[in-house]
Amino acid sequence: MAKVVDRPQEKTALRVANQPVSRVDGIENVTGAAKFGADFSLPGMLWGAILRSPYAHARIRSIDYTKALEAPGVVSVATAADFDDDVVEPTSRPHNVFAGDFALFLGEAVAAVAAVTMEDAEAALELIEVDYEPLPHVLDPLAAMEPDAPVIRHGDGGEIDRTEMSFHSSVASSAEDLDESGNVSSQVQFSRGDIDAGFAEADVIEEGRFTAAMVHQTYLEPHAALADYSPSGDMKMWVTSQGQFYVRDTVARLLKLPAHKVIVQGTAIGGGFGGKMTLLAPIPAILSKKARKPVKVVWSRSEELVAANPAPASVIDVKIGAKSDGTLTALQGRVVMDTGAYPGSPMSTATMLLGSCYVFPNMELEGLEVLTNKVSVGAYRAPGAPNSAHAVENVMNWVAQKLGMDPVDFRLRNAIGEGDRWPNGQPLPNVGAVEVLEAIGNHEVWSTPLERGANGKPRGRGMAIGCWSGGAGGSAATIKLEADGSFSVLVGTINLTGNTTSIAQVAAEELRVPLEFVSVHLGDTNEAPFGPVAGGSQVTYTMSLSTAAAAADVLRQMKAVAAQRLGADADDIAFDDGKMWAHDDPERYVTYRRIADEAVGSANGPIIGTGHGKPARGNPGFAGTIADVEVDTETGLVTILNLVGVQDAGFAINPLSVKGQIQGGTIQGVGYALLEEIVYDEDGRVRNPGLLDYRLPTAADVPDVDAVIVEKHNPYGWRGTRIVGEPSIVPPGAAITSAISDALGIPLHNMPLTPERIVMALRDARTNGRPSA
Amino acid sequence: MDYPLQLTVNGVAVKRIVEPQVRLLDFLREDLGLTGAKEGCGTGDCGACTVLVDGDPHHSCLTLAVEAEGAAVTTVEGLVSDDKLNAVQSAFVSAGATQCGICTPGFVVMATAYLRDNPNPTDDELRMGVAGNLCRCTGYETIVSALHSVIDGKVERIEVSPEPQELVPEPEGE
Repeated sequence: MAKVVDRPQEKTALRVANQPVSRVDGIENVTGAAKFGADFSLPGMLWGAILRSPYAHARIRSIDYTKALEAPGVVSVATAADFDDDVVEPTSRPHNVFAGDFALFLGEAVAAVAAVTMEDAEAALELIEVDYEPLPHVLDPLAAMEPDAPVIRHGDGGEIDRTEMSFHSSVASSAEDLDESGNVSSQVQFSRGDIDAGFAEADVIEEGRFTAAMVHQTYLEPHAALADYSPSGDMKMWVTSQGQFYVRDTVARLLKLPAHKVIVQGTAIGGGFGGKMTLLAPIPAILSKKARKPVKVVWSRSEELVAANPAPASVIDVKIGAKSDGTLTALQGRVVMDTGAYPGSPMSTATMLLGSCYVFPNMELEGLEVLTNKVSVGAYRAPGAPNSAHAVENVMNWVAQKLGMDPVDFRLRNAIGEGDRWPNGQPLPNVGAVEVLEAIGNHEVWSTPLERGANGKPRGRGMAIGCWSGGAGGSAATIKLEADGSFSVLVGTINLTGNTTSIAQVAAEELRVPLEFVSVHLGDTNEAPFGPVAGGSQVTYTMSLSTAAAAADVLRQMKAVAAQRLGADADDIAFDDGKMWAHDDPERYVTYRRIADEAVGSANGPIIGTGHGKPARGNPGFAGTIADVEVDTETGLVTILNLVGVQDAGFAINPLSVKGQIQGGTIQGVGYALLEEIVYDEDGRVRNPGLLDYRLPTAADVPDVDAVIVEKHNPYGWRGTRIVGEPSIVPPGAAITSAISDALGIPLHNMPLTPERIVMALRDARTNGRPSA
Repeated sequence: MDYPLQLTVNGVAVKRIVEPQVRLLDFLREDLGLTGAKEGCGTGDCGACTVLVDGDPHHSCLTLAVEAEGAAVTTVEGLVSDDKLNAVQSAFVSAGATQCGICTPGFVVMATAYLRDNPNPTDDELRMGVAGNLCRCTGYETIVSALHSVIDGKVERIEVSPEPQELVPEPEGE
């Protein structure tokens, strides 16, 4: 049972909301009927393939594709020259479809070919003649900040595009763009109080430098898009993306088409986690426009790992001071975030989140976003937050240890709450940091001492919390009353991972019918009302409000019809179970079916309701992790014994789905902590562009996650709903690395803690008392 | 060189001319329109393309179509019988073991074969048995618990395309 905090009493018993419900589209998924991006094809369709830069940094002197166009099966070729200067944004990766004057990372798209078969398209790539002038490159962000580092330049500059990050967080970036005199593309500073005085009054000070690797979202479905440019000038597209309207707007802008002529149908999406937006869609669109035939492009897994938009690597310094009674006095932090070849990383957010969980009277935070000749980064579930939590939460545990305090008690003493301010000065609404910490403190795993194993291998325990601000975008929904008294809901937000079921639950709850009487349909961008990007955990948060508003509109119209039939006042109409009646006469009712029938011939006409919604504000979601580990000191292999994920969901519309999000996010955190890292060689080439060497957790690697839902009522959400998707990935990396540190008795600073890093750290600790990991 | 290929797919005899380099995955998806098997990696590391060839699970991305000559191939589309999902499919739906759904077809096919051959595995054996199938959304817990419910014989097979139901009768005299 979830712990419920501050929830107002419901007037009527809930019928489907707040109850675990199987996915309404579950049968589609288990039978192979669900159609994902690569599953769509059209008659006469061509296949597209992409030519990529073989250099990490090069000037492109010229591109000649005459021979490619003459090759068998080839119909069209596209390059940067196909996009007008006034639509290309040189510093924005999504708006810089192909490399222009410079290729800035190995794998950057340079040209694309559409041909009758994939084999023809791939063969033609080799006939494109590109004259490259290789330039010196830099891969390490700290090296890139040195005065003599090769400088990475983007054509004409321009403002940094933070659109994608804005989907994930209602908190605007505070970063200041820097001109490109060096490789630091933007910076941010937050300060409060007097940092020197803060450390002067501290009895305990701990600090460290923490690194996190570049990791890939690794949605199992690679990018795919199909474009069909018709003679009338319609660009019809089927795209696997987290935001079909964002794809529509991007393609319309780049190809200079009117928005209503770009008709994007979002498909079933095989995972996104922030990484699947608009990177691919413009390529089949331009190829189709030039070929005047449908064109499909599907990325390979190696293209994904080399040239998508993974999560950023970072180097974070954190120093924390506290008094002997456990009161925090000061936080100093510096984030260096490797943004890859294009700016727009979550640097500002990551910097701010260093001070997001606790009250620090004095703080000084600095963030630097640094360009390198690697693939540009994107959003990955709570972008930047796992990196921040890794640094802060490990240091918090060291401080607690030095103080001799329980790490949960230490945190509770300093936990942030309503009215406290984040580093950007924004006062917080009623966040659930305290309740999440209490749920950890009360958990059976936490209150049971960790026993030493029979095999004698060292064991350790770690805990951490973290949070994510989340999005709070505007949305709309349309609901129709159908002829048999059932309802169809039309939405424009793709079904990322079960939100369709939650939307159906909201509609069924408001309309007072069983879930089976509601279906939710994703319309294309011309059919559907606007729906926000499925990012920032915002879909259910905002769509529950717009769906409820649409239901209210439908009910208002239905009550008018019922009132007329019953000879009652519309304000006196009650309803439940598919029927309406006058309050004082429940025996005499009119069915939804009859109302649908009568409405068609009534002055109102057929019943269709529209609703708009936007949460009044974002309200950060907090999550916490407990991890128990056992370490094999000879092999460096870590076994996770217990894993607990706690999260404040406000009001869990579908607890089955919320638990699934907590479990999934926690296991992605295991990937951050132990396994995942995109590795580059000195030429800037990804050394592990496949799923054998880029290791994801498997079923055999992970334990069950005990998912604990806390429900602290959020006044801005439907019935108290909060954001859910992202927070669970924030604390596990910190908790697991902390547990390993606890097991081995040495401080550890890097993610992932691969077996190799653990063995090296132990060796260093033995030889010179200083671990390297 | 074209190759005349004869095989059975989901119980239907199929006769086609294929080029010898065509992968079984592409043959199923492009030639037969059976898009249930997915390509997650193309290198046999993720399991999303798993199909049964004469009952044995195969990565269809690493299998040539011509290797299936004369074989009986079963894809996820072939698991429904008597208008009901099989036990593994049903358990996946009930347990919430599908999130984005892209790994689900391969997982369901693999688990169906694994549990047929290993009806009573331990939890460790079960997890190792499906470790070749990656899932990025669930963290595996709901998948593993779904499979345990199959092992325990607790699964009621779910009907596909259920009949519409009437919520409330019209009042008398209407």
